[in-house]
Amino acid sequence: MHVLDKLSALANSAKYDVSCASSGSTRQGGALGRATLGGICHSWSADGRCISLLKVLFSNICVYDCAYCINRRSNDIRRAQFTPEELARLTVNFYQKNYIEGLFLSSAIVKNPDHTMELLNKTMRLLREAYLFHGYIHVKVIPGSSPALVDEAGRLADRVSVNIELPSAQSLALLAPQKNYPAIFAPMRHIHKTILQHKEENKTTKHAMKFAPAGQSTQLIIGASPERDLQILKLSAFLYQSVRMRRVYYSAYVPVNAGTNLPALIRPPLLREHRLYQADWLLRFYGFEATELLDEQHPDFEEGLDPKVSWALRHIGAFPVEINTADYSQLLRIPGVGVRSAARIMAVRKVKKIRYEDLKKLRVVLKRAQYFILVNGRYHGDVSPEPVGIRQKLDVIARRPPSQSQLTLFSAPEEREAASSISGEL
Amino acid sequence: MKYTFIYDGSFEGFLAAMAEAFYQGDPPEDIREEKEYVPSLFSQAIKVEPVSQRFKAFVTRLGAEAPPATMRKLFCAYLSGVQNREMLAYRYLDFAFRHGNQAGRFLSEEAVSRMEELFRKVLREAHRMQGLVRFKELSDGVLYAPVETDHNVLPLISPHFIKRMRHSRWVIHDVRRQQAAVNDNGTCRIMATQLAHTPEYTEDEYFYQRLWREYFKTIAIESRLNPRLQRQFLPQRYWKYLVEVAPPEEA
Repeated sequence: MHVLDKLSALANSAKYDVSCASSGSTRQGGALGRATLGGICHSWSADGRCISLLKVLFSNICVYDCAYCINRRSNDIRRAQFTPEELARLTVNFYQKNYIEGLFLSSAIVKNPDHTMELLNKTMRLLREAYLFHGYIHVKVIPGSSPALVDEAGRLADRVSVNIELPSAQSLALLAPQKNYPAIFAPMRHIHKTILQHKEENKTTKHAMKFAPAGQSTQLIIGASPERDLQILKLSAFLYQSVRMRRVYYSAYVPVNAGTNLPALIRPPLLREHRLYQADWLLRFYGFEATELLDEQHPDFEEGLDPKVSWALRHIGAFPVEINTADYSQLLRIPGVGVRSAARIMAVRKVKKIRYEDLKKLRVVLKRAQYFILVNGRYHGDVSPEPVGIRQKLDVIARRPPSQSQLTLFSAPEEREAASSISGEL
Repeated sequence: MKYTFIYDGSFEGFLAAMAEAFYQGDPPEDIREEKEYVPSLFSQAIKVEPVSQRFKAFVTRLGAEAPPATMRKLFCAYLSGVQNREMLAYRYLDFAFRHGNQAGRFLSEEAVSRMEELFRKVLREAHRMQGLVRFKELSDGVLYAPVETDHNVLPLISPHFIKRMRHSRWVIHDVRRQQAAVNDNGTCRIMATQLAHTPEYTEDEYFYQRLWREYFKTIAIESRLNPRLQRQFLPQRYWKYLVEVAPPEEA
């Protein structure tokens, strides 16, 4: 098989994995390549997703038969497998031409987990030791492979990840019967422990070895199983705390297979995915807890409102907030104020009083912020500061014609129409 | 009559023109690079010598009186392709000298916010170009990357590529400004350049371009197609030299 055909088949098999970040590492000093802390995007594909790494499977010849996966054994797709040398050479050439920041290396399960992990490690060894490649490598840990192989992967790669895929053990058992939660969480905890150990050693030894300097990440598929947003977000919060996950990625389920256990989606739930990412940012950078954003009465995000607005409307008593006196953590909770604009507000306040006209220059999004702030005691919103009126102004679903709404399996279309008719904007 | 200060196009000249303008006291009519200067009836043109006693005193004053990172901001303003970059820098400095160390915090002031915006724009393009430069392998083994950018980002991106590919011979050619960053084994120079003839690429080059285009096409998920979002991140003015979206050049 020609390399072009292999690349085509194995990129096609890898494209549903979301992560493409090349950030978090500062590896440098080799013959070829360096990692930059903030990561670099090299292109954007026609779906608007950033391309930073060469994202391919080593092989898509899988012994597993996971219901949601394009590469499952029972699917009739083009099958291919690189040799370590082919993939290493491809990576180095793409890297020299500045197409990519590095390699995202994953694989279907070839024969068994250990055999597969060894193939991935061999490819990385070749890159690091023969080609002296110091670019970024993100490697998937194959669930069920032995700890010694995982350790080697961590020493060779910048970031390692184990995908959880289904947000509950029950869904995983139903849709991926050959996988199980312990086999996913055990390597995660092991990696976390090893990263901490290496950090400790780095403090005392000068030339301690690097171990996954960019940490670990994982991915959850959204909409292939019935979990609510609350359950998903709690899982993310748990991962950020317990194993210091750098990122949790959310992947709107794209129906690549039909199956009795799978929902028949018309389109991937992109808006739901977007809301989860917004909430994820609120967890990591805005000081929110998962249980503040959602609770048993509100187990899912509203598609029409971003999670912060939604939270603010349920806690309208905490608003409006005075821009000139609120502390930083309060500013961060105002819809329309972000990490950067909050920092700008703090800086300006040190030298002068802020006027309403100033806020636009500080890049506060007044479209949302106007309802939640006072500036020198004055409210500037174009409706009174009450949830019903504000909701009418800000709900994007209610404000667009119902034909454009996204249909998902777990929320009936009638609900959406009902929401639009309440707002009276049909 | 007001003055228009004219400088030679170098960064030293840019600073010397600022020095001269502040020495004169009253706000100048304009400050211009020589090749962009159009004579005007309403102002008197003064040509500024790059390095003088006044220039040195001015640089010392910047260090002592202007807020931190001012020199870096001035350098980015100088590199920007924005028409009135010199006067934006002048107004910022004028404000900074009057408000001292705290000046950078007046983010709602026109003079400060315009300068910040300019600074961000230049840095944003520099960051973007770290990803968008595309090297093509010439038949003599040199990696050649033509670019057309809004701002003169070569001095900002070269250090990154030196660290990334110290031991290769590479050239990043700013086609619009007829300048190139040329690296040979870790020694990198920026020099005036014009392309003498159409570059000749290796067989391998065309092969990898085909592979890259195939990868680029394959990696997009059909059910998520969103060309508007793609163009938002990847403005079409950069497509000309991007192997994956430009029309293929074949041997």
